[in-house]
Amino acid sequence: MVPEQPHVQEVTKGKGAPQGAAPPGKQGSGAKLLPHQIMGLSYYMERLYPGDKVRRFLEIFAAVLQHSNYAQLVDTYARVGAKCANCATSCQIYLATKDPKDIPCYRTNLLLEIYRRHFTFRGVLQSKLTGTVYLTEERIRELAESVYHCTGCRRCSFECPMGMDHGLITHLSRYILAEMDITPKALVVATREQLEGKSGNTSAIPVPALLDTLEFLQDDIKDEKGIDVSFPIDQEGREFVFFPAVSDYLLEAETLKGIAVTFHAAGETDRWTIGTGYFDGINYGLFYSDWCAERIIQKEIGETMRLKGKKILIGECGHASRSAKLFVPTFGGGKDALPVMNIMEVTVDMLRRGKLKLNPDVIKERVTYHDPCNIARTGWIVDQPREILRSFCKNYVDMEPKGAKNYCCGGGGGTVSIDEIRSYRTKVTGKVKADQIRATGAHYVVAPCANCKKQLREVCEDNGLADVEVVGLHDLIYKAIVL
Amino acid sequence: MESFLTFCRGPLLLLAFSVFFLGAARQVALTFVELGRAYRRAGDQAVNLKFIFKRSLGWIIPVNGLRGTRWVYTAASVVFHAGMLLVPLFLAGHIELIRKGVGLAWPSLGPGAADALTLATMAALLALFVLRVASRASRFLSTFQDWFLLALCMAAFLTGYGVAHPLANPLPFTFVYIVHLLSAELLLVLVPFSKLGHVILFPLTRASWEMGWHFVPGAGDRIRIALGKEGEPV
Ligand code: SF4
Ligand code: SF4
Repeated sequence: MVPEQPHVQEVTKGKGAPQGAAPPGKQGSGAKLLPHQIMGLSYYMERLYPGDKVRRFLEIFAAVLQHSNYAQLVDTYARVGAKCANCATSCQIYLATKDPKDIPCYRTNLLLEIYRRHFTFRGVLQSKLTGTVYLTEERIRELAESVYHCTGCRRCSFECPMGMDHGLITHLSRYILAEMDITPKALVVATREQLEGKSGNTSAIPVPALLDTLEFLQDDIKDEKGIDVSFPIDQEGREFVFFPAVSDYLLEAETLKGIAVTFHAAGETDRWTIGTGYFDGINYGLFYSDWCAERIIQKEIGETMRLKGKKILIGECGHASRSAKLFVPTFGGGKDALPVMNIMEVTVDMLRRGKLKLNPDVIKERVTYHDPCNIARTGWIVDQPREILRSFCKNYVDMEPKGAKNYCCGGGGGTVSIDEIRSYRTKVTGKVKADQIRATGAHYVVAPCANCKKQLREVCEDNGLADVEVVGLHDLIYKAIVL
Repeated sequence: MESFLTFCRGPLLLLAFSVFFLGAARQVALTFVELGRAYRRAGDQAVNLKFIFKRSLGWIIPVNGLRGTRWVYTAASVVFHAGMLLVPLFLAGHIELIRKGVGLAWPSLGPGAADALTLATMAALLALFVLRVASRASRFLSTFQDWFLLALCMAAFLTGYGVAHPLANPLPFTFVYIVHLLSAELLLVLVPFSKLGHVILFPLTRASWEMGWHFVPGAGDRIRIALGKEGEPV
């Protein structure tokens, strides 16, 4: 075990390859530990619970089992695991590494075994009789590394005859770890700013900067399209209050312009608004903490209510869409909760109603579509984007497999935010995706998700796919729309 | 030997059945209680029953599995499970035993069909074993019980065949019969206590899964209070 320094703040940021964590015990006694070297993990952490970690882990596990709905799940799973290895070949990580420790069932079993040995009659008896404690710091470390290797994409859930959802067990494991501060720094820092920071959003964008950006985008549209298109701000009583991944305001101008122009072209600008009280769709709670998830979702609900909006509209973002779809009913009143829609559902509806004209001669290059796991896995949003793309992209091809059974971009589950593991993401988890993209021969990869876009750009960069352009769906609409 | 056989056929069999049924009932009851509790606490009570049925049926009628990359494994698994269910339940000898015991009876498989099914099941078992050994992934995952249960099933079927065909059986009949009874009884007893639990829980695992995603409002706060982390920042 590395002697840890619980509250080290300085981070020497290493871009690119993961910083090889110093092997336990090899650290000179005077050397200052980098935060990510706490526990020898491949990602940075800010701090670590200073007391007895094994005891703390079990305390947290017990509290989680008592107060949440995971107990029944873990108990059932712990009984039935078939160890059939069906799931192995469905996981893009195992496909790339062929390391048995990357088999989904192995990962899930790390947590299930802790449950069996510490929370079942038989396990406790076994410990008593043999006088051993199963859980060790080494086992906690292995779990912490493993669950941030998994992207929580849930592709493997299709393959398990026993109905194991490894994405859910990964989520639970991360939640338990988070309560003892074992969470990649990137996720915590963003979430802290969102919940407790001055800006109230993950990219720390103050309202004046947001307004500037929107004005800038409006000017851009004027220059490029010659029309005045507005981004409605703080309008009350609109059908939709809009929450993109907030980073889109910094990084995905084309997508946002495309969305505004779509509403404008359909003559339906009065259906939506952006709220200055809260404008971030990102919810990393989905990746590591139910506690954060609930608080974040209340901000979305609160802003929509403040503006007397009727629905929550999420932009091009997979996890933002899924977390809202899942958590708004969960934490916002069940069947009376506000409805949640993804922007592509709105756009496809406009297209079907004949409100959008898209010029089929603009996009000549080959186009393919990447299904973001979070909206495609349940089959929620699979056909809508294809219907839109096929309507104006002559050279559209699909990847194989696709839709609900797509492969993850390799950056799901929040791992895309962890810069330290970039080479792991692009060479290991993203390898299958790179091969898929290469096989399509497409120039445009449409990925309507902030996480997927960042990840896929890095995947293409690191895998010799320099000609590929990763774009949002509304980026292409913006190019082709007839006004 | 003979008296031990009688013991195996009588009290021991009864005991095995009792453990099986009581254990199964306990598991089903507990699971339903837990599912009910999860349902009552869930913030969103819309349960996707279609998902539960679709995902369960998908494995009972494994069309996709048979088309997938592991179709040999799926095929072997289907044959094995079919044999495992049908042979014990519909063999004339077994029904006779039950009729004598509790007075219930139902139509049985003809001797030809029973033999064919038994042989097919054994072949499937062998295939499952070979596949488990041959695949690095499943070899790595397998624990003692995964090997042991395969062997136990094989023992039960092999000796069962021996009992049904005494002439083809080189070993002493009584011995084979006893091994058959013991292995079958052990299988029954192990159902509630091993991964064989899926015999009972299979229809409920998807329900557990679905309810697992139904989070409890306020649970996050309560967990932090329980851990003495109230009011701590993110
Ligand atoms: S959820 Fe995705 S990344 Fe995680 S084990 Fe399953 S297939 Fe692999
Ligand atoms: S498919 Fe399910 S039972 Fe089989 S090895 Fe994977 S998790 Fe375990």
